[in-house]
Amino acid sequence: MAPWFDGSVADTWAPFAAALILGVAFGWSLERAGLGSARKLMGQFYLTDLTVFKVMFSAIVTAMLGAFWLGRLGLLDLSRVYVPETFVAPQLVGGLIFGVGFAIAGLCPGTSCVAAATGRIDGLATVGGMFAGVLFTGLSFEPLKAFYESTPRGSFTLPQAVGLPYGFVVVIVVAVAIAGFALAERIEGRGSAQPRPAWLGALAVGAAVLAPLAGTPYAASSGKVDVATLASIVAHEGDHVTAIELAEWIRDRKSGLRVIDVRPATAFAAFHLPTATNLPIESLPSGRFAPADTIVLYSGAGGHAAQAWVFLRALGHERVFFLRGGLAEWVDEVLNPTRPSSASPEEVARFNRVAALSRYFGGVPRVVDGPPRSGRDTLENETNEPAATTSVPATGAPTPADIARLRRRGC
Amino acid sequence: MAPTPRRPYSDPYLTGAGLGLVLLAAYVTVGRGLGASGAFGSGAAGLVAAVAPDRAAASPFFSRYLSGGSPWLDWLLIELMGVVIGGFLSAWLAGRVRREVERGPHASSGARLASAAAGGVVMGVGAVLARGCTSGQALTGGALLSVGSWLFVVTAFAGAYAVAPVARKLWS
Repeated sequence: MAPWFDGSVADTWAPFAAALILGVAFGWSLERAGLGSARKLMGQFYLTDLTVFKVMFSAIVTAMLGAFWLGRLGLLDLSRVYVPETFVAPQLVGGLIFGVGFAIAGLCPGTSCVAAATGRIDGLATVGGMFAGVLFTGLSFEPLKAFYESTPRGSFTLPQAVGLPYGFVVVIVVAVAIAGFALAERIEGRGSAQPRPAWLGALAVGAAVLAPLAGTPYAASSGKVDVATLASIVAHEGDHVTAIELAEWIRDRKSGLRVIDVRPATAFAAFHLPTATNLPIESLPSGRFAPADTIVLYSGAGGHAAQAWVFLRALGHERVFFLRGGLAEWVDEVLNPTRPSSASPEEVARFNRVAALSRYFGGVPRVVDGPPRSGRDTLENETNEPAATTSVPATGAPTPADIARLRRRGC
Repeated sequence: MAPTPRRPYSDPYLTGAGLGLVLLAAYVTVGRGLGASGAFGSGAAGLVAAVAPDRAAASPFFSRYLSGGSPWLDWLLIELMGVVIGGFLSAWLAGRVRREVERGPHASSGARLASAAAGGVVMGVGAVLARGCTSGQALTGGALLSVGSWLFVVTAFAGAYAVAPVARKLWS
């Protein structure tokens, strides 16, 4: 099943041949549409020539419908097609800066290459400027790094974000595109002077209207479970990590660490562990992991994470762990560690190590009278993931007041 | 230079659908989409690695491009070479190859070249932050319904519409 080659690995000639052929076809299409011309591109922003909008949205609609139906018909494994990862803040700000540069240059990176290839010196100037801009940003990347990596959401799609089936979102995008095309024709005011390929529109509408009835475009990910091996791993406690271990991995920036929150997007947005990305459990088959990745799964109380562990093992991922006590364990052990006032020297030494770790994550270690309290008891019988987690506060590092509230609510 | 007279551009919807099929072919063959700005990142990483290897290894941005073999054999860089070849072939066969500085009737070529270069620099900054451009984010991620890609489309067009009136002198 497609995709046929791994586009990121340079071990065979095939991906490179594909790169060259696809590039030629890409450049050809852009030039045919006139997108190698800055004057034509600027027509989009002066509302005199909306070719950019028409070409872009025709391409998006075509590729979206194609990917949906090839996935649905089992010809393309959509979960293995790389979805650009979402980083909300840097993409909003980067997009804005990019758009400003686009309007100043009159060309975007791909079209500037086409402009340069067809003899336009201004295209060459934009290619040079673009290279200088990337070089400059790369050389002074250190202060930008924190922002660049902020608000990570992983491979996060509109169907996941709005909670609608894939096919419904496909229909909405096609409907918006068609409305946009109609508006574009009115703005250009040429009416019916130019013939429109009506058959193309009919094809798109047909493919879109049937999409919601067709179900999911993701192939059924049927994994293989070696029950004896998995049972042995579970018996030897090799399936999970403690909150303290995970906290140390995050603090030490363990290489290849992927912290995955399997709760719904709303719960993730309300609170999540530092560096975590959201992959709701029903989207698990669409997750993409490298063989060297160390995957740590967590949920509100641990139940769903444990189930996700079995699924990922079944899909062939080797380095998978889950946080057994879930977020509750993180809140108790990392953010809110306590020790009784009467403790042995060993206990005090251990507590001091944990306390340092806790402060790194903005936690509040305390010495209390009597035995340590646990918020986990109330979450042990996990029946509903969202209900278990909606009470968690909205930042990566809860304030002492938040923690107090958390403890009251038992999460 | 041109074998045929200069021909008008093709229908935007048909060409767009054709471009969509090229994008779909990329998903099917290599499991990824098209791109452009990533090739600039790879090229910049290659240059820095050749001139100042320590600097490249120390930069968290460049080191990503240097971890998996030569940056000059990056998939996107080869794809972008194809874009140049394809763009030239299409224009040549349609009689549209012409050495010029494209600009409005009242703009000097110096002003146009300066704006083209300056805009390129600004786009470079934006594309690094956004992890892609109109190709890698808007087209590729847009058709895969990536949330970040759609956010990028919205703010990129907002930024362009906000600034376009300032550049009006170059084109009117």
